[in-house]
Amino acid sequence: MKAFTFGLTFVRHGETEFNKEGLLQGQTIDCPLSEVGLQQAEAAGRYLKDVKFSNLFVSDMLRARQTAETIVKHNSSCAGLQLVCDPLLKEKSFGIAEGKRLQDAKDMARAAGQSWAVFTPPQGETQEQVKQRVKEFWLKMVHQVGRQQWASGGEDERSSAPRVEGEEAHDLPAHALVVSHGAYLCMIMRFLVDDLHCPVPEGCSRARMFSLSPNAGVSRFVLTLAKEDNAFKVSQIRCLFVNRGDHVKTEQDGSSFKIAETR
Amino acid sequence: MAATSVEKGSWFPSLALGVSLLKALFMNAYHSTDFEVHRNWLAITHNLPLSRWYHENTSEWTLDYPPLFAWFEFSLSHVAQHFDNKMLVVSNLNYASPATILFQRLSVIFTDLLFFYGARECCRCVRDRKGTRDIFTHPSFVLAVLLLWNFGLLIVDHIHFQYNGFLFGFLLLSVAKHLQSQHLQGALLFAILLNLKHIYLYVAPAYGIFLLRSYCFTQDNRDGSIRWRSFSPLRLLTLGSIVAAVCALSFGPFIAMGQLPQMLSRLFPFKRGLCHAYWAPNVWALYNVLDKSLATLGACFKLLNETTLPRASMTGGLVQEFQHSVLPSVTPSITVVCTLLSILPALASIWRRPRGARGFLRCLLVCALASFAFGWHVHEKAILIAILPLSLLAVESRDDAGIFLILSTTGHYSLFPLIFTLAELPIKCALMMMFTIFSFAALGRLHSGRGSLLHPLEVVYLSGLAVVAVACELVFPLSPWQQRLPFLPLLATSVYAALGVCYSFLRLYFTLLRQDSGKFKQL
Repeated sequence: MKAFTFGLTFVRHGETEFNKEGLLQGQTIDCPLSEVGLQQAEAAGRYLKDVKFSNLFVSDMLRARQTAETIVKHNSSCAGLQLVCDPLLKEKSFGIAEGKRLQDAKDMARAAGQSWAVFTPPQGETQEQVKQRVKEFWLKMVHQVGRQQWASGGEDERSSAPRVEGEEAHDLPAHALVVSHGAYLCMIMRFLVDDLHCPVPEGCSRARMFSLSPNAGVSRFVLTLAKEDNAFKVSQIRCLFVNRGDHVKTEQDGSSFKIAETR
Repeated sequence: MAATSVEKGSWFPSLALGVSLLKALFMNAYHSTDFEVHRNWLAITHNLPLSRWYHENTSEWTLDYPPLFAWFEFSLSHVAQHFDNKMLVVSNLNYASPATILFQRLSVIFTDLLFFYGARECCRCVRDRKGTRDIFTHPSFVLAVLLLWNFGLLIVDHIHFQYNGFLFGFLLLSVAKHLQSQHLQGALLFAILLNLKHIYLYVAPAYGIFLLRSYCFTQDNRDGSIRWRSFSPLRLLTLGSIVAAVCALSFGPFIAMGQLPQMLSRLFPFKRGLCHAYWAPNVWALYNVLDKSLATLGACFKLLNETTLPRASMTGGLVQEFQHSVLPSVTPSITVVCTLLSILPALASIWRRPRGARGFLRCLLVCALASFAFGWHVHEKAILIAILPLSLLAVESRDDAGIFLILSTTGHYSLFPLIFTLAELPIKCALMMMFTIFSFAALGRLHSGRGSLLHPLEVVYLSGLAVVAVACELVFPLSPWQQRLPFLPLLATSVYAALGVCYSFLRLYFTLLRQDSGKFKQL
């Protein structure tokens, strides 16, 4: 059984005016990045400039596309790559709550007697529906990356024991960039942890893993793909870091007070 | 030099061995983020080609020391692979097996050998007292204990985990070489040190001015002023080429690859805030408190409109940028200007009336304290750059001993928040008491005869430290304010210690300038 490792970097789009106001966007609101959002995308681009990407996937919404284009601009390895815009990566639809404040949507949930985590605003997508999209996108992406790798003579010399050790995240044979949206990315994390049994990284809790990524926040995973019959399966998956946002200048207030940053 | 008591006694090896065994006791103490930092650097230097060292950012703890330190980590990594291979995998973020921790702790204890060597050389340079049998009145013995058993180094290196002992070894060795008039060697050692950790730029002006004045101009006029004609271009050239060679060796390969801008952005990350998460006890801590108090008072007395004030979120715990509410905001350029202005009088004094190597040492201390007081994003650990060399002056002169007692006690106390876990509380208190009692007793004994070393007000201030300590460590956690104002102990420690540090700085400055106007001492 032959296998190869590939890296996966998720990026949430940069800030938009709606993000700043704390309003839900969902699928109907397709606004561009704000000034700050463009700067955040630039910061993410600089942060990722040395990663050799082999595949680029982005949601077809404007804010994600702008973010992805900025990242690609800074990265020399992306020069010849095609930016695949996929509607499967769209943000979760919040139905009639779109354009309203998050707080109003939570009030709606409470009025319906449900917690915000499981509540579906009228005409919105259920968690199950989002998960379905995630699964479809996942199969599509894994298939595309796997096929591409195999086609380029990708016989792995290290294939006898598909290990993640000894691999350096910047020199993996393949590395996919996925730029998407907040609620959608949360669902992806759940899918990776619950369905694909990705272990939570050290020092991180499940709650942190499933929390909303900051704008232009980056998460990275390393997976081992094995070819079984004609399909590709994930034989091993590891999370390097999740929801990293310190490359982006953010306002932090004193609510979470730790000295853990001392060096 | 005449044989000193260092050669005659075997107490130095005993002290060294004793403190090394003590360090072994801290093997399983508090695990800081620095373990992961250095593990990451071991992995990066071991696995990646040179061109990726300053670009790699899988881990958030990117390489931000100059290249010679990276080479140091590279050589350590070859030993590390025999302890645990897995620590060298770059993507093994936060990997911390027992073998890894053992290796890292042992590596610090082992590299401290260089510190021992530097301390020993300094002890040999200290003027000894003849005819006393009691070893506690030998300045070299007292200096050895003050250096080898220094509380700050013990907790920063061996509990928190850093390689400061190794680096200070270079600094002490360099100072010792200058005291022994071997200026080229001293310059070489300092050039290496700068390329190991660039924080020592704090004291580079002192080196520059001293070497230029006392080494490149070979003679002085009879009244001590500069004799321009004795300028030796050869000496300047030798000095310059030594420093240039070291820097070329270290930065050369990276400049050739065009990575200089990237390296500079890594080495000087100015986007971090004015103050570290925990404020170093410097002028900016006092400035922040003043700003905050003015803002609160102003809002209280309705002089200022609270909503129009920019939010000053400086009492948060993480590293961040600052905006002051009432007083003008401080930018990196302002801090550089303040630092330079504050060291100019000292440098001018050394230039006008060079006082040999001891004057240089005093100027070095002034530069270190000035940079600490006015620097951008200063770590409280940087106080050690002032405390350790000051020990040399403390065992020789009364005044300096007084300044040392204040600075070291205050500086060491300001390191307390660094080790904040409950299990380490008895350790840090006991070690602090041990060092403080010894330094007071030994220095008092050494300089006995003309009354106490400290002024009564100074004694009151230092006793106040004990009160603040008890309040922060014992009383506060049990009080109702712990939830609402969690930053209060840090604030109190910072501000109270800042007073002591600034006071020591001014006193040291005063001794430097006073020597200028009076007779100057020979080496």
